[in-house]
Amino acid sequence: MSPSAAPAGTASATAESVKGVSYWTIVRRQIRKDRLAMTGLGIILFLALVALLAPLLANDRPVVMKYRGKVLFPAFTTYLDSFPVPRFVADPLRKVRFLSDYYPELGGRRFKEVVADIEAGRGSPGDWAVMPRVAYGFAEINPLQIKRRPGEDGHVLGTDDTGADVLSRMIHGTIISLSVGIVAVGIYVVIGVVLGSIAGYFGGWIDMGTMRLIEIMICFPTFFLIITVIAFLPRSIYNIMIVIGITSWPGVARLIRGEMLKAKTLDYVMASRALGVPAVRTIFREMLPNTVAPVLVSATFGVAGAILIETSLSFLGFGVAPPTASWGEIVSQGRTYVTEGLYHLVIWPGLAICLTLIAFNLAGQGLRDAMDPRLRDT
Amino acid sequence: MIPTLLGITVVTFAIIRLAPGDPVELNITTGPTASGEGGGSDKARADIVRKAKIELGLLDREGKPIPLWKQYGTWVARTVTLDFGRSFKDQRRVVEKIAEALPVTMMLSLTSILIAYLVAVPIGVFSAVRRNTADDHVVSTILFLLWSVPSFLAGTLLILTLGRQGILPFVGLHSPQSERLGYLPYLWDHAAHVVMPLACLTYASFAALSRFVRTGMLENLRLDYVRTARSKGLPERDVVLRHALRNSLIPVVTIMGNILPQLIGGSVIIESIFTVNGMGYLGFQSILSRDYPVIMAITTFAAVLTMLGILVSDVLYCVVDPRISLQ
Repeated sequence: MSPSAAPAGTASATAESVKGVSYWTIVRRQIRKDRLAMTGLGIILFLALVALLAPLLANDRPVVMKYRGKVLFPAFTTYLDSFPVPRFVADPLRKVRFLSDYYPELGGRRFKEVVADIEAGRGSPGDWAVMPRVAYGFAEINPLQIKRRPGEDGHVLGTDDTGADVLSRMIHGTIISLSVGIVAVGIYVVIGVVLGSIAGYFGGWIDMGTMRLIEIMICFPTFFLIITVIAFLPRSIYNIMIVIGITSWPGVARLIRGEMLKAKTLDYVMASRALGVPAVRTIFREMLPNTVAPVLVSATFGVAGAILIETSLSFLGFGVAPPTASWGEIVSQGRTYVTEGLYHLVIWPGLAICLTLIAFNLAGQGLRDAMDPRLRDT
Repeated sequence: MIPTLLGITVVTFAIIRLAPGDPVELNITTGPTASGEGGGSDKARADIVRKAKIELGLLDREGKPIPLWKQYGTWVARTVTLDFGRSFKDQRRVVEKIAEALPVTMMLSLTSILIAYLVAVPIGVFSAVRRNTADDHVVSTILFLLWSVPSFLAGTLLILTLGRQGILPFVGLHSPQSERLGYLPYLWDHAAHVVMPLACLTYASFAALSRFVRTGMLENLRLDYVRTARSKGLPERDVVLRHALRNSLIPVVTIMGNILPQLIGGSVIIESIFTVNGMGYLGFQSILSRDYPVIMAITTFAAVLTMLGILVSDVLYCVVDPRISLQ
């Protein structure tokens, strides 16, 4: 058989290696071909957009309005309430006119009343207001509309036991779930990578000590450890992120340590050491880029895991402090009022949780398959 | 093993002692002991706090604080003899409470592991034999979707549907006064109560486990000994079940060590949803009421159990694979 008749796969593979395509380009191409992984990434992108635009999608304040000749953007101040912005950043920002909650023009009335007036034609001439698609705030409680079923009183997905709109709380809950997932994983990946690479590179007693620590940490049921610590700390989203972060690193550390042990014997590391490059530079600039790939896979799955932990914590009542919205907390109300059969409090946020977990798991699987050379070009 | 044990106790001790808030102060001001004895004057209250602290080993007999390392030493010494002190909540001995809760959780966890293996291994074999066919894809998709459903969601949905319709009971593991029933009705009652919690504990492990089996099978089916078995004319059934499966089960045994801590962690959620009086629910309640002695005992117990689980799976590894020996 002539070489030209070789299967297309091998031909393109040789062509690629001749052109010198980088590892990450190959991985990217593989993922593009993987329809499920692309679906996962698409869902993640969608969720990220929902989270970023949450205050403009669901709010009891208009996105933009003209009131007595002035153009106002009242919805933007919600960004400081809905996003996990630390106090020392949020407080100065609240003094900025655009983000402040100070509207003397309204004379103490709520935005909703003002908008209702404008829509009824009772406002001053030239006034207009653009309300968000979901015209309810995530913390807008209403004692008169408690536990409404979907569709009742204009609540598309109904209301919870405080009369807050479920859809609005779900949209704002996206922020909490995604940010906890990503930040917590970021924390533990950093801890795991640093500890694991130092242990793997230096070996000896450092390695022994780290491995012992890992063995100890692995023995604790993570979720139980997390709620124990969380229960002692003030309820805050940062504490959740940090606690998940500092309890979940052993897996990453072990992974990186193994990779480092393998890489240590390779020529480029020898060369780097022979050239007198400091160890820290060798580890983090030379070896890490070559060993970090499997961590990326486990981090993607890890985001799903961290979101699962966050929603479970909220379900058990250890989540973010009210009135901050969280998916798990809405589901727990369905359990509290079993006899009333409030399916909408379980199904919709439940679907949101499942969709998010599926998205990150699909992305993780796609990434894993794309990085596995045995599965390439099949 | 001994260093790991010591490490477990250090971590447990550190979490509780370094946690913000004084356990005793908190309990006496807000806890159940607040009412009754001397709630009135500050001096009387301070006296109670002091007494409680001496009893807990935080202060010595003269009321002077004991250094942290000494406290740790006493605690470890007492822990070794299974003396975890008394619960803040009802003054019962912690060991008694654990002795009641542990069998419940162990029963659920072990049954769950058993079911997980019984279901996942055949599924894994099936997907491997039918790899990349429609059957394989359907099975993998279903398991993948199940894996992405949080157990608290599944539990709540089950309660809202089966539980609310009265099809299955969802509170506890027995009906009230079930002891009066005869043996068979009692067992039936128990089984009905167990179905939903057990299902919620188990379904998530199907996906990971069966995928593990599938990968192991695929790797083995490629090997020479399988070709030999086929070429000597063994029926495909025997090739798969007697040759490939036995060899691919070796790594599957070891992930039992990973499943156990997940089950114990997961039991907090499941037992709380279904009001099962096991370790998870006990832990949940004691965390809520800041019952420090119980929390410490449960954390230690769970960690030691997991350590033993890992040890057992290491030993099993050697049993199923004679090439590996315990050093």
